[in-house]
Order: sequence, then C-alpha cells, then structure tokens
Amino acid sequence: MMRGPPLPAPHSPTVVAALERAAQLGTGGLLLVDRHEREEALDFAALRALAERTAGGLQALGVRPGDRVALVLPTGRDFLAAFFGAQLAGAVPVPLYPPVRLGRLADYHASTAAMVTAARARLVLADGRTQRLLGEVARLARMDLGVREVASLPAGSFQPVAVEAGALGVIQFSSGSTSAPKPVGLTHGNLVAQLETLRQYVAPGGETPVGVSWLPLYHDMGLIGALLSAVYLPGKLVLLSPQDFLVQPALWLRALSRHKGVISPAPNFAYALCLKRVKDEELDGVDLSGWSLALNGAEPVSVEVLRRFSARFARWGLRPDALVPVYGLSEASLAVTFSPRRATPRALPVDAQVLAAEGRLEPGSRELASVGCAVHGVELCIRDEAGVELPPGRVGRVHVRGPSVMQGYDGLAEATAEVLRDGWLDTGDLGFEHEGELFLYGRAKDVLVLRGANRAPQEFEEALDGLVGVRPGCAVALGHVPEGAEGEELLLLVEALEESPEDLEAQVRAAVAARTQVTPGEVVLLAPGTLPRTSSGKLRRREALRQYLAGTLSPPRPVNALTVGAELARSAAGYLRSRLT
Amino acid sequence: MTDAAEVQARIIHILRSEAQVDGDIQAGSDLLRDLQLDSMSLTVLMVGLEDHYRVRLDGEDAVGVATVADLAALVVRKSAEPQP
Repeated sequence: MMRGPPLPAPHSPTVVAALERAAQLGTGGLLLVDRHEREEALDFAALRALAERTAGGLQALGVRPGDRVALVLPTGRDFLAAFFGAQLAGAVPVPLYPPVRLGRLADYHASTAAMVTAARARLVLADGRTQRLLGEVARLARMDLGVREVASLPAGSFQPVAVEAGALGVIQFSSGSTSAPKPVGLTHGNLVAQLETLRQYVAPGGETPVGVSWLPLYHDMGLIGALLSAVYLPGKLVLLSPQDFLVQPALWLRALSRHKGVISPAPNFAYALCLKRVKDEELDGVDLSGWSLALNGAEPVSVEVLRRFSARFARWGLRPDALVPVYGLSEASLAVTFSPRRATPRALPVDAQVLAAEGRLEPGSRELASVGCAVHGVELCIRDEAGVELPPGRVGRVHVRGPSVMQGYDGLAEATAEVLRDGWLDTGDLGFEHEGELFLYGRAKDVLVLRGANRAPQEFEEALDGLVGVRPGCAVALGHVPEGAEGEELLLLVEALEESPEDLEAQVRAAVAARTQVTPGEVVLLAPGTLPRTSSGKLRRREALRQYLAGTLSPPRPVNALTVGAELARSAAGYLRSRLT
Repeated sequence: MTDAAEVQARIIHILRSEAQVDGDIQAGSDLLRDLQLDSMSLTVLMVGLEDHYRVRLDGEDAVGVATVADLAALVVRKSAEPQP
C-alpha cells in the first residue's frame, strides 16, 4: 500500500468559483501563441467575461443546468469561451477531438457521433471550420440543439446559476478497459481536489510557476493539468496548439525560453520527437534553465529518452533534475503518482523475462523508470487477479482511491462496476511497488497507448480483415515498449496460413498503416494455432504478449495418438499429485 | 499559377526532409498504402503545403486524395480559388 500525504481542502468548491476568484485576484492569465509566434493575451477577468457571454447564449438557446454540451474545437478563444461558458451555465462540457486532416472522415464521423450519443449531448459547439465537417455527426447523433458555431450563438443576458460541488464539471472520454471509448464523469469536487493536489506539488510555497502547454484540451493532461490548473492557482499559462507543436516541435522549447516557463507536461513521445526533429539552429538564444518541471506522463516513460533529452538540451541550460516521470489516468481526473524532486530520474534495472513470465522483480538489464510516489490524497495498492493485495516487488493491477477518482462512466453502471469497487479504481495498468515508488510494466486491459493516445486493439486487427494469407480473425494487436525503443510501439502477432504470400509481412504493415495511420513496430508471423485462446476460442491478447515477452510463444505440437497418450499420462500424474498433497 | 510538377517536387521535399520518408516516392505513390505516412507525417505535410502555397486543406477536400499526384492536383485547384 502506498499513501500520499493528506490533501488540504481546496480553496474553491467548484471550477466556476475558482474562475471567479482568478478574475478577481487579477494575477496570471492565458497567452495564446500561434505558429508564427504571434501572441494574444487573455487575462482571467477577460476569460470570465467571454465565458459569461457564451453562457448567456447557451441559456438563450435553452441549455439548462446538467445538460451536456460537446465541444469540437481546436485550442483557442472559442474553446475557452465554450468550456467555461458551459460550466458557468451549469452545463457539462464534453471536449472531443477535432477532425484530423486527410483522416478517414467516415470513421471520424462515426466515432464522434458515438461519443456525442454516449455523453447524451444536446448540442455540439464548433467553429466555422469544424462546423462544416460535423453535418454527418448531427445526422447520426441527432442532438436536439444541433451543431452551432460559438461565434454565432444568440445574444442573451446571463442568468447566474448555482453550481454545486457534486455536479458534473466535465465528461472526458477514456478508452477504459475495452474498446469503445467511455464517458468519464468528473464532478466539480473531483476536479478541484485534483487541482489542489497539483498545486501541492507544483506550488508548495504558494508561488505561481509559469506553465507552457501544447497538449490537446480534449485530453486530461492538457485540460486539467495545464488549463484548469492555471485558473485554479491562478498562474500564467502559455498555450500552443498540438498541431503546431507536431509540425514544429521547437515552438514548444522556444515558448518555454521566451516566457521563462517553469512547468510543462508532455507524453514521452513528445520528448522523443524533439530529439528527432528540433534542429540546433532553431534554438538560437534559447534558455531552458528555468524549466524545472518537465513532467513526462500519459504513456510509458522510456529511460533512454529521458537520458538523451537531458543530455542533448543541457547545452541550452536544461537542468539534469528537470525531467519528472509521472503517472495518471482520466478515470482519476489525472495525477496518481509524481516522482519526488531528485537529481535525475530513477531507473531500476530488472529482468524483463522474469517480470513477464513470473510477475516478480529480479535484477536484470532492462531499465524501468520510477513514476514516483502517491500524490496528495491518493492511496494506491497492487492486487492480483483475484483482488488480493500483493507485497512490494510483485506485479499486479494498480488500484487507486482518492477524492479525484471519477463517480463512474456516465450512464454505464455495468462498466463502472467492473472498475470501481468500494471506492477503489482498478486502473487496468500493471505495475509493482518498490521502496515506496510505483513502477509500471504493461497493462491488464487491452488498450494501446501510442503517442499519448489510447487506441483499441480491434482497430489494428480489423485492418487485416480479408488479407490473403492471414488466418481470418487470428491476429492480435498489442502495445509494448521494446528494449531500447523510444516509447510504446504496435506489435502485431499474426497467424499466417501455410500457403501465404511471401511478402505477407509487408502487406500486413501496409494494410495497418493505410487503415490506421500507425506504422507497426514489429509484425510477427506465427503458425496457425500459436496464439493462446480461452476455452471458448477467444484470443487472449495479454497472455499472448506475456508468452511473447517470456519467449514461450510456440505453435501447438502436432496432435497424434502418442501426444494425446502423453497428455493423459501427465494429467493422471497431476491428479495423483493433487490427491497426495 | 501553381503547377502540379512543382507542387509534387515540394511534396517530395517535405516528405524527405520533415517526415523522414526514405525510399522511392513517385507521383503515383499512395500516401497511406505505399508511403505509409502516419497521422503526424500527414499533418506535417499538409501544414507544410498550406504554409507554402497559402491555401487551406480541409478534411472534406481530402476525399478522393490517395496519391502524391492527387494531392498536388488538390493544391493546384485550391490555389486557383479566390482567397477567403
């Protein structure tokens, strides 16, 4: 059991109250940066005024407290107006991701409509650009108030609404433990508890560190960890768009330097992307010495990437102690563990095979990064499949309890009961405790985390449908971090027919890339019958990964009278042994 | 007037220098199937073209775009439209 320090009471009962407080204090504020590094300031009083105007418009449309309002908006003023406007009107904002470029528009429409329906949104707020792409979503999801542009909401005077701590403050989507994204319902109380937890870590002495974030605002780390956190402190936050960062990662580092950013979180892939794509000449005059909290979370942390990032950017003043591995998940609002501030991230060399095969800790050559200790107000324990708590050094499912843990998946009692028992959230992540710190190693749930995004395995497996040479329905998609890799990669274990084409592996890669726009890290072709199955014939993904990592994944032995006889003899012997002991 | 051959050369340049695509790139190369561009490379490519040619390429424009030549044709068509 790991227990964080007690959490002091939040200074505001709701996010709405926190925004009110920030507007009155008059410190901090937001700075929106575009890809040409033009900047637009928005202080919290202006943000509050913007939100009030939107809230009035929503009320004029007929939006009532408790109604859900989906937001399909890029990072910018419209998003901010819509998010805080919905909250001010007592409604529940549901941020969803905007359409991707050149993506598969039909898939986008279907998944967005499914999320709008699951969250029971009455309305989708968009901007001029995204609205044009949402007609099909409106047709599929049939929201009674349709799709509206934030800029053209009706004018209406805002009627103040009492928002309680127990009311839902946001619905964010999580891939959860199975494929379909599930709506995670977080109350205002959950949110402010999380924000107070973050404050204890980032501003223990009451100072307000400058934040910089390019993270998407439809994701917990960007929305709660960066935006809401800035409102709660209140502090200064420099906001860039995720797309601008992807195109030119140096924008992130330059913004940190220009604004003397102290805290900036990002998933592991972002650090790897900077190593690959930032050119020295883009960092002329850049000074990263003020960046003391480079939080690394939302996907597996690679020790190798941490070291290389530290070494490369030390030239621009990056402190060796800046990189801080963390762990959290949307069902817990965000943070679960944070690494203590220390000279360099802690790496533990383990034997990966023993860890995979036997679930216990043995010294070895594979380095795992510590993700740290339980944060304020959080309790954490590791349990086996039967729910029994495991001692340190044993791998099991990570369970979390605390004031930021969600109420449940919105409207999904059964799915909620699967993961929430007696206030304990089963995260579906696998890990072990060692010297009071958490180390993660794999997942019990069938979810891949690629570049910070949760992806369902079915997406990749279905891409192989109809491919000649693949045994139909006999492939599994898994995420894991290969030794020496920069992050989690897609591993495909595929049963191939004997008469399969010679270039089947290349065909598998091409089919997956075309359908999902993810390039597989490794494709392994297997003999028919190799993948482990349940007694009812369902493929067992995690077991397949465990066997693969332990080096024990092998084709079934040919069955003949002799092997059947040997099996019978073995099981008879086993039966006898069980009777004798 | 923007011409398709020049746009194709620009596409290939962006793919090689920014998206780290090695190997053969032809006018007929399928962006997804042959070049196996991931979502990030596609973003880099689209924004690179938008910046260079001062056009906007939306998701709905991309319907029917499969190859390097298709994309070049789209950019040519967009840059001939009056600017918003």
